[in-house]
Amino acid sequence: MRARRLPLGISIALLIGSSLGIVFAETTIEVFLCAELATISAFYIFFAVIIPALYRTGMDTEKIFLGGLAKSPYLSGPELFSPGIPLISEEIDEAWDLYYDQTKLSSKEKKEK
Amino acid sequence: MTTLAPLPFIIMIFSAVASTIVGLRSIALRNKLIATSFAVAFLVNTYFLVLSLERKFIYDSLGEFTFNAASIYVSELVLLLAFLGAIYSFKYMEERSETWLYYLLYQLFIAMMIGMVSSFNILVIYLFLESSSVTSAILVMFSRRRSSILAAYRYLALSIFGGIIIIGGIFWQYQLIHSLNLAEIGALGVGQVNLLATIYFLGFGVKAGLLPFGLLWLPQAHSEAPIPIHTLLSAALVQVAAFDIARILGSMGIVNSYIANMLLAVGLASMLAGSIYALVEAWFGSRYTRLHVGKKHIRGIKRVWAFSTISEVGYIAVFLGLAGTLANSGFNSEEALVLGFGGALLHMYNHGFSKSQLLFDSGVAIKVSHSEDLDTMRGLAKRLPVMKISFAVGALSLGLIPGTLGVSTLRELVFNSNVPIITKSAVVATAAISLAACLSVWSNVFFSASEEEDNRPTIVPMALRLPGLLIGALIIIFGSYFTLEWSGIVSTGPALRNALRILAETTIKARVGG
Repeated sequence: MRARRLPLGISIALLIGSSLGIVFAETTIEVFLCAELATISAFYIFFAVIIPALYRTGMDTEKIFLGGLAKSPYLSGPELFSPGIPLISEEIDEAWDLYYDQTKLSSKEKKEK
Repeated sequence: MTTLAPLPFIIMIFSAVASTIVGLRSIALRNKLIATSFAVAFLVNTYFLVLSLERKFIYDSLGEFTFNAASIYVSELVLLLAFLGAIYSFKYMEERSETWLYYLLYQLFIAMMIGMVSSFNILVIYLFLESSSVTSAILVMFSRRRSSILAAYRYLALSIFGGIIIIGGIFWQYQLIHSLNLAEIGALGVGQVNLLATIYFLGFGVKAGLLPFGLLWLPQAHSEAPIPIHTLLSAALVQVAAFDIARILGSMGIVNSYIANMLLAVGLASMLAGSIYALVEAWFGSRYTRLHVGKKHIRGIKRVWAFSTISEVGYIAVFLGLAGTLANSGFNSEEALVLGFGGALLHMYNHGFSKSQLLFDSGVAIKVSHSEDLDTMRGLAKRLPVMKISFAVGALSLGLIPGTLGVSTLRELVFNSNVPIITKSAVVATAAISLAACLSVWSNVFFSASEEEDNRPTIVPMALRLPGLLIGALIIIFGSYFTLEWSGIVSTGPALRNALRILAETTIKARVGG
């Protein structure tokens, strides 16, 4: 987790620095510097998000080349390729993944879904 | 700096850092610090808004910032909604573990929005636009669904696309006039102004959610965000971006017919398309509207509000375009500015209030029904008896019904003899479709048959109930005032018109008459 925290911390510090920098900026070059710092931060966040977003969230383990094994390796298809939420150290909320809380919705309603 | 006008911006930055440090020790103390910071920032801003509308405060500069009547007016809406959203979040997000990051980004996001409206330097506006994208994109993912990651990615990708267009415009502007100040664009030739206007309109239009690019990210990002963030994105951020469009294109001259036609065409298209999408989503769901990032199709309540946001920003663009159209057709250009830009600024409050009211109440309905899908959100009238009324207030205001805040838009666009008939027809059609969508959601959530056996009133925590009720009350109070003033029962003299004149002029200039 800490490895993820440091770049995020630097990124947010750059945002705060560039915002406050505008208060003290006197020349166009200084304004450009502030804008550049904010852009660096934006690109870091963008790339931190893009990787998990484009990652496939599940696969058919049967399709893995088994190298002569009789049965598929002990792998869970949905979990195998499921990176967590980028930048936020929280787990994906599986209960709300279908736009309703599957743990609390009545069984009849779940069936209807 | 000669006054305390920039204080709300500074408070938000320092409170973001201070509350994070305090939160390491005590969550309760952190929440108190956040609420106090928002309250102080809001009160200071209100004080300067009153002064500026009475012409006792002209403007204040701090570095590249310029705080004037129009910027303070838009900041007021942002701060009010952010204050209520923070109170709402204390309860709505209390079960989450990473709240320190949530509140840090939340307050920075508000500071960035204030920054976006408080400068005439295009590079500074761009900087805060970029920063607001970063903070809000991370906040979108706090829903913790897989689909919210995809929504945040699309949002960031489109924001960076818009940013690249803007930065291209900024470099070209600097090459032409060696200045980043919007006031100096007037020195350019008509062709150059038109091209620069198109570039900035495209770039900021992405963020404002206008067609065509708004459809690619807005419904997904807004509907995937947690309710308080969805509220800020829909009711504040898109309007802040629309205000920047008004400031930038207005600085290029409101009598420019090319800019006026561009605003009018895109505004009308966004207005109609957004409302039609909202109605189709309310009736048939994402199977027909598409533009969905979830694993399965739903009839998403938040998606209805997201599509409706595109429509409401369209109104603002139409207002801005009308200013130019009227000025070009022999109408007094000062009056055209008041009608167009003043009307747009009034509509920002109508949309901001009604959308936030609907979203705050929708959040409670989602909590109670454990669903965001209209197919399973049913029959809550007995469980949420007060909310079934307050929800209707927001819906009626969005449908421009007299007695609500929507009456100001109705009056300026439909009952104004200077507005072309085609625009009037489009506005009437949009209002009717929006109203149908809102009432469809209302009847579905509260009055359709429910399988639920327990129909006793649900006790909703005050932190979740208060924001919606307060905004609902403001819609009724201001709406009644505007309705009575329109019907001639109450007379305000020239006060309202003068206030609109100050706001409209300070949107495009640092000071009135300057």
